Amino acid sequence: MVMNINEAIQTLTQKLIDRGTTVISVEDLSKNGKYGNARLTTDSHEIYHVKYTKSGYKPKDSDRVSSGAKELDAKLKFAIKSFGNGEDTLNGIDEDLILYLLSMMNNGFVCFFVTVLSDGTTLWCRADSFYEFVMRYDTFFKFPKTNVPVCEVPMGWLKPWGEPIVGYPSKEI
Amino acid sequence: MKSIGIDYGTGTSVLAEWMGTSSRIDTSITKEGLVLSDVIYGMDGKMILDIDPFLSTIACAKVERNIKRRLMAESESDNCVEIEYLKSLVVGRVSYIFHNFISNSSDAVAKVILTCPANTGQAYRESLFDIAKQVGLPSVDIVDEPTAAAVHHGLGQKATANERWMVIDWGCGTLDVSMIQRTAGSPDLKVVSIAGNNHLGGSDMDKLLADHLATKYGFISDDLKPYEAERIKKRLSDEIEVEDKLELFSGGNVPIKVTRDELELLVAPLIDKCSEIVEQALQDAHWESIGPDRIIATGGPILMPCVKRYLIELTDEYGAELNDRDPLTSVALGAARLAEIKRIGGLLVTSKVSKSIGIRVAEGDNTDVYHIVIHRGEERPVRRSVELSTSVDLQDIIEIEIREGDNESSAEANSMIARLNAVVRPDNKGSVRMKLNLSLSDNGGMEAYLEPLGDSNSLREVQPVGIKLGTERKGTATAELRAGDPVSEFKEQVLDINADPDTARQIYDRLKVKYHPDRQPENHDHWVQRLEAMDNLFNDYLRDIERQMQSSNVPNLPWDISDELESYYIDEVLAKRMTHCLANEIGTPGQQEVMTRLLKKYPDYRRILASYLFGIKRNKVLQDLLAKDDRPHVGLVVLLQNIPDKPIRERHEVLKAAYRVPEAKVREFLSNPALEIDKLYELVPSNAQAEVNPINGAPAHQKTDLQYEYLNGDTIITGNTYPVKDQIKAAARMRGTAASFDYGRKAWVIKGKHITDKDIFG
Repeated sequence: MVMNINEAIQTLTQKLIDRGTTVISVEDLSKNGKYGNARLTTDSHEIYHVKYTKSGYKPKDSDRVSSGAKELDAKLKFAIKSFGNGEDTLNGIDEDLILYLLSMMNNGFVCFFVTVLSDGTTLWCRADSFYEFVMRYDTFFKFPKTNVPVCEVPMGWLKPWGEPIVGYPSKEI
Repeated sequence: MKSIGIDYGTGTSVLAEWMGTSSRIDTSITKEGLVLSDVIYGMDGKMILDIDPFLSTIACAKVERNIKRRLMAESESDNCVEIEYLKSLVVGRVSYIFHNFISNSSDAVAKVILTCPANTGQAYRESLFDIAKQVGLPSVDIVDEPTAAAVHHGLGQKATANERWMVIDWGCGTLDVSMIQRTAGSPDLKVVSIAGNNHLGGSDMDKLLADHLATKYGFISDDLKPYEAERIKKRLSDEIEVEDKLELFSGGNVPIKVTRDELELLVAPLIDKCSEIVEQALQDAHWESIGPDRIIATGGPILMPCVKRYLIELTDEYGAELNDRDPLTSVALGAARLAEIKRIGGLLVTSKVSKSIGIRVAEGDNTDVYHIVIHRGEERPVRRSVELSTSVDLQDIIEIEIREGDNESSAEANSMIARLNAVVRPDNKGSVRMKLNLSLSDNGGMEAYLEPLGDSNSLREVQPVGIKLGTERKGTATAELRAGDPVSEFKEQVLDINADPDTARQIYDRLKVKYHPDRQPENHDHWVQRLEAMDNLFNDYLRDIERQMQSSNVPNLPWDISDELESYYIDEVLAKRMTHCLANEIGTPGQQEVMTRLLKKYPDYRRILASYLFGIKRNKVLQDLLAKDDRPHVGLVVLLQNIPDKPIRERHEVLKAAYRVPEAKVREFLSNPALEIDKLYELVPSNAQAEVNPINGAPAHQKTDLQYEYLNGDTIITGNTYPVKDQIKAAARMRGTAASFDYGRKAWVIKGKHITDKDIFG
């Protein structure tokens, strides 16, 4: 079981070591109000944004959605249905965090979004893929109180972090 | 310094050294210089190398025979244990011959040539390199046996006319036929074609004779002691009839009487097979009608009168000259001469690739696809490259299997000769790209190296298994003495006139010879670089041809079986291919209709369509598909995402605005025949409606009372700023600057820009 962001960081650090990468710095973003989020930088110019969450966010049933939010609800459910691979929840991070990762990619880092669930399941994808998906399918939402947009992707769209993946190449045409 | 040649044969092995003006056989082990290649084990289980079982009657526990033939066969299998065992036997035998030679020689050996059958693939050649390393042979090259024999027989002065040689090398285990060409005025040898059979040798004749005698005299063939049948076969070359006694393992002797006619009847089918191989080699060289003007024959079986008769008939048929002296040693003698030539440079000997070399690749779910990189029959030395990418998302290791063979239907059906594991940065499928360069050098070796394409950090490490990793040459050209250049000639003769692939390959081969670095050793590195540049051009040309071929056909789908077609799994590769076909109207109208339907089974098809459209800027078919789609905004966003060189934050605002453009307007943008994708970047914000909070439907941008002050070009904003702080920051970003909160003034400061209510609230 993974109980909190610190344990999630430890989990991810070990997984990165298993893949032959060394973590050189860890930035816990809780102090900036981004609870459950941290950034790990490796010796090979990579940034892994790790988010700890107990489980994904499951959108409400459609009949409980207010009329103003119906359009967003439809978009979220379309994304889940088309790309969720049978998993019906969403996961994501604040808009400013993903934009930060994009800006770091412009600076030569390769950035990944990683989420660690309480049962230890680790899912990940490249930060730019994450961002492009969100923008493409408009899977943003804002919580009325904070007014901070959150970028969401279907949990099943993220790739499971398993053993190092070995495969044959594809030939470029 | 000595140059030597070693002919490790199936039956016997020979070492020859170059003596300054001619080659000489090393006779320090046996009088004739022939050392049995077989290895015997004594009763104590130890390998005995210095006793010739041919001549000795010592008790032995085991005789390992036909080692070379077995190693050649096993080299194409995955039986590593057997391969290593056989290699250890060869190491023992070659080491014995070599160290015996150097212990009797005062000079050090500087160059060694090992020979191998021409019809042998890279796998056996790599085994020979490994054996040479274990023995401690210095500076080894591997040369085809027929080529070495040709050097012994035919290499004198420069050719006075164009010459065509046929070399028939019929050994104890293999038959090889090489067609070799020399051009008037040149000393160089160019192998034009090769053909052979690695299971057609003198030992097969011995087996036929042993079986015949066993049937005739009522004993079990396997009971016959080694070399007994061979002994009788040899006698029948000199005698019409032989009476002898054969020794059996079970004890005792069997008296026999056999005639040469009986033997010739037995081997006649083998001579027929030889004739077929000769015909094949002539056809491959396109010499069927003109034939060779010289036939060089070597190997033990050519001492048999029936084989000799066949050779004379062949020679008469073409009016050729027959060279068949030194049949048991000519390969080693030629190899020694070639070793010296290679040591000092000047002569060029090119040969042919006997088996194609390729790699295993994945195409969709099929991971057993064989892609040939170097084709059989290509001229050696050769260097080819292929561009590869990761085949699955977040792939850590790209396993590159280098295989040898010509079975194009399955990679596994070809022999694996080496593997490279490329450790890469995990990334999206297809994002990590690299170029694999494979080369077969003229010393007989194979090299491979990987170079990353794009981000150099994406390739972390390359782990070679059974392969020498190539190193980048860093030599620089000092001068160019020749008037021509392979690169410019290739451009003129191939690229500028769009030559067809066959013509291109011929021109490429000719230029490889014309500009071979050995022709000008003083500028070796310069010509190596120029030829590498030509290799790259040729590889690019081949890729273009392949691309054109692929891009002009519909995908290979079961078009006539509707059930199968409808249930076909559509992956990203196929989706891209179908998009290409739709955009370019490839296929029948019926196929295009089916492709449109199938394409939509891929969930992210809108991204594929829009990305392709971005590449070609305008296309009625794709624009209509996107405009009429149930989610036209997706296509619009993808187009906007593809526009290059936009600041991240600014683009982010534009992308968000895209979803506030009314759907009808988006369809109008996308279906516009005069679509200008770059202009969408400005059109979208100006057509976007006001933002609302998607959770509660309230306007996302609240309007509050703000006070503006302008100082030294900066904007100072005070008032009820907290509820609209994001809007202030966004307005600053849209004007290309940033907003910061001044806690002293309790105001937002926007540097260098004049910001108004309109910028913030629209």
